Amino acid sequence: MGLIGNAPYLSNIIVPGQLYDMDVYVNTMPSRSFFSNSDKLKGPTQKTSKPVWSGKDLIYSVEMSPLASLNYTLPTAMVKSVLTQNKTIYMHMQVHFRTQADDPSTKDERFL
Amino acid sequence: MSLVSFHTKDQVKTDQNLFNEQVMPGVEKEKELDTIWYPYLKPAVSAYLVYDDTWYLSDMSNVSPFIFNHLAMEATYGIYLPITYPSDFWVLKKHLTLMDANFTTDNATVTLSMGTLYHKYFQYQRQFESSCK
Repeated sequence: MGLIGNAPYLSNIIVPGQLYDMDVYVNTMPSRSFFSNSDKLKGPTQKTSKPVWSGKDLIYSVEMSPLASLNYTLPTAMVKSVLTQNKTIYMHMQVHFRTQADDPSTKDERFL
Repeated sequence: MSLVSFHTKDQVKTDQNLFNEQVMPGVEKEKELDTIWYPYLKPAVSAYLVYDDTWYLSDMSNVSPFIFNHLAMEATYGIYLPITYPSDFWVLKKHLTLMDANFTTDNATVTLSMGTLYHKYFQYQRQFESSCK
Protein backbone atom coordinates (compact mmCIF):
# COMPACT_ATOMS: atom_id res chain seq x y z
CA MET A 1 0.00 0.00 0.00
CA GLY A 2 1.20 3.44 -0.80
CA LEU A 3 1.24 6.26 1.66
CA ILE A 4 -0.05 9.77 1.26
CA GLY A 5 1.69 12.67 2.87
CA ASN A 6 5.41 12.96 2.55
CA ALA A 7 5.70 9.85 0.46
CA PRO A 8 7.06 10.81 -2.96
CA TYR A 9 5.13 8.07 -4.68
CA LEU A 10 1.55 6.98 -4.35
CA SER A 11 0.16 3.62 -5.21
CA ASN A 12 -3.14 2.06 -5.90
CA ILE A 13 -4.18 -0.64 -3.54
CA ILE A 14 -5.68 -3.30 -5.72
CA VAL A 15 -3.18 -5.86 -6.73
CA PRO A 16 -3.67 -9.39 -8.01
CA GLY A 17 -4.05 -11.91 -5.25
CA GLN A 18 -5.97 -9.77 -2.81
CA LEU A 19 -9.48 -10.83 -1.97
CA TYR A 20 -12.56 -8.73 -2.40
CA ASP A 21 -16.25 -9.02 -1.93
CA MET A 22 -18.62 -6.79 -3.75
CA ASP A 23 -22.08 -5.70 -2.73
CA VAL A 24 -24.44 -4.53 -5.41
CA TYR A 25 -27.33 -2.31 -4.48
CA VAL A 26 -30.19 -1.85 -6.87
CA ASN A 27 -32.57 0.98 -6.12
CA THR A 28 -34.19 4.07 -7.50
CA MET A 29 -31.85 6.55 -5.86
CA PRO A 30 -29.09 8.12 -7.94
CA SER A 31 -26.93 9.13 -5.02
CA ARG A 32 -24.67 6.70 -3.26
CA SER A 33 -24.49 8.78 -0.10
CA PHE A 34 -27.57 7.11 1.30
CA PHE A 35 -25.45 4.13 2.28
CA SER A 36 -24.17 5.93 5.33
CA ASN A 37 -27.55 6.72 6.84
CA SER A 38 -29.76 3.89 5.80
CA ASP A 39 -30.20 0.32 6.82
CA LYS A 40 -28.03 -1.97 4.87
CA LEU A 41 -29.38 -5.35 4.03
CA LYS A 42 -27.11 -8.13 3.00
CA GLY A 43 -28.15 -11.35 1.47
CA PRO A 44 -26.24 -14.56 1.21
CA THR A 45 -23.53 -14.64 -1.37
CA GLN A 46 -24.81 -14.46 -4.93
CA LYS A 47 -28.42 -14.43 -3.87
CA THR A 48 -30.78 -11.55 -3.81
CA SER A 49 -32.14 -10.31 -0.55
CA LYS A 50 -35.48 -9.07 0.60
CA PRO A 51 -36.31 -5.43 0.05
CA VAL A 52 -36.04 -2.94 2.84
CA TRP A 53 -37.87 0.33 3.03
CA SER A 54 -35.59 3.24 3.64
CA GLY A 55 -37.45 6.49 3.72
CA LYS A 56 -38.55 7.10 0.16
CA ASP A 57 -37.27 4.23 -1.85
CA LEU A 58 -36.95 0.53 -1.78
CA ILE A 59 -33.42 -0.71 -1.54
CA TYR A 60 -32.40 -4.11 -2.70
CA SER A 61 -28.99 -5.53 -2.29
CA VAL A 62 -27.12 -8.36 -3.85
CA GLU A 63 -23.94 -9.63 -2.35
CA MET A 64 -21.56 -11.33 -4.63
CA SER A 65 -17.90 -11.76 -5.15
CA PRO A 66 -15.80 -10.60 -8.08
CA LEU A 67 -15.44 -13.04 -10.96
CA ALA A 68 -19.05 -14.03 -10.47
CA SER A 69 -22.20 -13.35 -12.39
CA LEU A 70 -25.86 -13.72 -11.68
CA ASN A 71 -29.24 -13.08 -13.17
CA TYR A 72 -31.07 -10.57 -11.04
CA THR A 73 -34.79 -10.18 -11.49
CA LEU A 74 -36.01 -6.71 -10.72
CA PRO A 75 -38.74 -6.60 -8.08
CA THR A 76 -42.22 -5.81 -9.29
CA ALA A 77 -42.47 -2.70 -7.12
CA MET A 78 -39.36 -1.30 -8.68
CA VAL A 79 -40.64 -1.92 -12.18
CA LYS A 80 -43.89 -0.19 -11.27
CA SER A 81 -42.00 2.84 -10.03
CA VAL A 82 -40.43 3.14 -13.46
CA LEU A 83 -43.70 2.75 -15.28
CA THR A 84 -45.85 4.94 -13.08
CA GLN A 85 -43.43 7.50 -11.67
CA ASN A 86 -40.88 7.71 -14.49
CA LYS A 87 -38.15 6.75 -12.09
CA THR A 88 -35.03 5.03 -13.20
CA ILE A 89 -33.16 2.18 -11.61
CA TYR A 90 -29.60 2.50 -10.46
CA MET A 91 -26.95 0.01 -9.58
CA HIS A 92 -24.47 0.90 -6.87
CA MET A 93 -21.44 -1.04 -5.89
CA GLN A 94 -19.63 -1.40 -2.63
CA VAL A 95 -16.38 -3.22 -2.21
CA HIS A 96 -15.16 -5.00 0.87
CA PHE A 97 -11.55 -5.90 0.72
CA ARG A 98 -9.99 -8.28 3.15
CA THR A 99 -6.88 -7.38 4.94
CA GLN A 100 -6.14 -10.98 5.87
CA ALA A 101 -6.67 -13.51 3.17
CA ASP A 102 -6.97 -16.39 5.61
CA ASP A 103 -9.64 -14.73 7.69
CA PRO A 104 -12.70 -13.96 5.60
CA SER A 105 -14.38 -12.32 8.56
CA THR A 106 -11.75 -9.60 8.55
CA LYS A 107 -13.19 -7.03 6.28
CA ASP A 108 -12.56 -3.38 5.88
CA GLU A 109 -15.68 -1.79 4.54
CA ARG A 110 -15.44 1.33 2.52
CA PHE A 111 -18.02 3.04 0.47
CA LEU A 112 -17.37 3.73 -3.15
CA MET B 1 -24.97 3.30 -13.10
CA SER B 2 -28.48 3.39 -14.43
CA LEU B 3 -30.10 0.13 -15.45
CA VAL B 4 -32.80 1.99 -17.34
CA SER B 5 -32.24 4.33 -20.24
CA PHE B 6 -34.77 6.43 -22.06
CA HIS B 7 -35.06 6.45 -25.83
CA THR B 8 -37.62 7.06 -28.50
CA LYS B 9 -38.74 4.01 -30.40
CA ASP B 10 -36.97 5.32 -33.48
CA GLN B 11 -33.69 5.26 -31.65
CA VAL B 12 -34.02 1.62 -30.66
CA LYS B 13 -34.28 -0.22 -33.91
CA THR B 14 -33.94 -3.87 -34.53
CA ASP B 15 -32.14 -5.32 -37.50
CA GLN B 16 -33.56 -3.99 -40.71
CA ASN B 17 -33.87 -5.38 -44.17
CA LEU B 18 -32.14 -2.82 -46.33
CA PHE B 19 -34.14 -3.88 -49.39
CA ASN B 20 -37.31 -2.70 -47.66
CA GLU B 21 -35.79 0.71 -47.17
CA GLN B 22 -35.29 1.33 -50.87
CA VAL B 23 -37.16 4.34 -52.11
CA MET B 24 -37.77 5.21 -55.71
CA PRO B 25 -35.87 8.30 -56.81
CA GLY B 26 -37.98 11.39 -56.50
CA VAL B 27 -40.43 9.74 -54.13
CA GLU B 28 -40.15 10.89 -50.57
CA LYS B 29 -41.13 8.34 -48.02
CA GLU B 30 -43.34 9.62 -45.28
CA LYS B 31 -41.87 9.13 -41.87
CA GLU B 32 -43.59 9.71 -38.61
CA LEU B 33 -41.40 11.14 -35.92
CA ASP B 34 -41.71 9.51 -32.54
CA THR B 35 -41.13 12.12 -29.89
CA ILE B 36 -42.14 10.07 -26.87
CA TRP B 37 -39.34 8.78 -24.71
CA TYR B 38 -39.81 5.31 -23.29
CA PRO B 39 -37.87 3.54 -20.54
CA TYR B 40 -35.74 0.64 -21.72
CA LEU B 41 -34.14 -1.92 -19.47
CA LYS B 42 -30.58 -2.97 -20.08
CA PRO B 43 -30.48 -6.77 -20.11
CA ALA B 44 -26.88 -6.99 -18.95
CA VAL B 45 -24.30 -4.83 -17.28
CA SER B 46 -20.77 -5.50 -16.18
CA ALA B 47 -18.86 -4.31 -13.16
CA TYR B 48 -15.13 -4.54 -12.81
CA LEU B 49 -12.56 -4.05 -10.12
CA VAL B 50 -9.48 -2.47 -11.59
CA TYR B 51 -6.28 -3.71 -10.09
CA ASP B 52 -3.22 -1.56 -10.27
CA ASP B 53 0.15 -1.77 -8.60
CA THR B 54 1.58 1.30 -10.29
CA TRP B 55 3.46 3.76 -8.14
CA TYR B 56 2.25 7.19 -9.09
CA LEU B 57 4.18 10.38 -8.55
CA SER B 58 2.80 12.63 -5.85
CA ASP B 59 2.23 15.38 -8.42
CA MET B 60 0.17 12.86 -10.44
CA SER B 61 2.16 13.67 -13.53
CA ASN B 62 2.45 10.05 -14.61
CA VAL B 63 -1.25 9.21 -14.24
CA SER B 64 -3.21 8.59 -17.39
CA PRO B 65 -6.13 11.01 -17.82
CA PHE B 66 -8.39 8.01 -18.29
CA ILE B 67 -7.45 6.75 -14.83
CA PHE B 68 -7.04 10.07 -13.07
CA ASN B 69 -10.76 10.78 -12.89
CA HIS B 70 -11.38 7.48 -11.16
CA LEU B 71 -8.78 7.83 -8.47
CA ALA B 72 -10.10 8.63 -5.02
CA MET B 73 -7.99 8.95 -1.93
CA GLU B 74 -8.77 7.58 1.47
CA ALA B 75 -7.14 10.02 3.83
CA THR B 76 -7.48 7.91 6.96
CA TYR B 77 -5.48 5.04 5.58
CA GLY B 78 -3.41 7.08 3.17
CA ILE B 79 -4.26 4.95 0.20
CA TYR B 80 -6.29 4.99 -2.94
CA LEU B 81 -9.68 3.37 -2.98
CA PRO B 82 -10.17 0.59 -5.46
CA ILE B 83 -11.49 1.63 -8.83
CA THR B 84 -14.87 0.15 -9.56
CA TYR B 85 -15.89 0.36 -13.15
CA PRO B 86 -19.47 -0.33 -14.19
CA SER B 87 -19.97 -0.62 -17.91
CA ASP B 88 -22.83 -1.05 -20.33
CA PHE B 89 -20.72 -0.29 -23.34
CA TRP B 90 -21.32 -3.64 -25.03
CA VAL B 91 -25.09 -3.51 -24.64
CA LEU B 92 -26.49 -2.62 -28.04
CA LYS B 93 -29.61 -0.53 -28.32
CA LYS B 94 -31.39 -3.27 -30.21
CA HIS B 95 -31.00 -5.51 -27.16
CA LEU B 96 -32.78 -3.11 -24.83
CA THR B 97 -36.12 -4.23 -23.43
CA LEU B 98 -39.01 -1.81 -23.68
CA MET B 99 -40.70 -1.21 -20.33
CA ASP B 100 -44.34 -0.53 -21.07
CA ALA B 101 -47.68 -1.93 -19.99
CA ASN B 102 -46.79 -5.27 -21.58
CA PHE B 103 -43.61 -5.55 -19.57
CA THR B 104 -43.64 -8.66 -17.40
CA THR B 105 -41.35 -9.98 -14.75
CA ASP B 106 -40.12 -12.55 -17.25
CA ASN B 107 -38.32 -9.70 -18.98
CA ALA B 108 -37.15 -8.04 -15.80
CA THR B 109 -33.96 -10.00 -15.46
CA VAL B 110 -30.63 -8.24 -15.57
CA THR B 111 -27.45 -10.21 -15.87
CA LEU B 112 -24.78 -8.78 -13.59
CA SER B 113 -21.28 -9.81 -14.47
CA MET B 114 -18.35 -9.12 -12.21
CA GLY B 115 -14.75 -9.28 -13.07
CA THR B 116 -11.37 -7.69 -12.69
CA LEU B 117 -9.47 -5.57 -15.15
CA TYR B 118 -5.83 -4.77 -15.38
CA HIS B 119 -5.40 -1.02 -15.26
CA LYS B 120 -3.85 -0.89 -18.74
CA TYR B 121 -6.85 -2.68 -20.22
CA PHE B 122 -9.13 -0.36 -18.26
CA GLN B 123 -7.28 2.60 -19.70
CA TYR B 124 -7.64 1.28 -23.25
CA GLN B 125 -11.31 0.52 -22.67
CA ARG B 126 -12.01 4.05 -21.44
CA GLN B 127 -10.09 5.44 -24.38
CA PHE B 128 -12.11 3.30 -26.78
CA GLU B 129 -15.39 4.36 -25.20
CA SER B 130 -14.42 8.01 -25.41
CA SER B 131 -13.63 7.69 -29.09
CA CYS B 132 -17.01 6.10 -29.77
CA LYS B 133 -19.05 8.83 -28.13
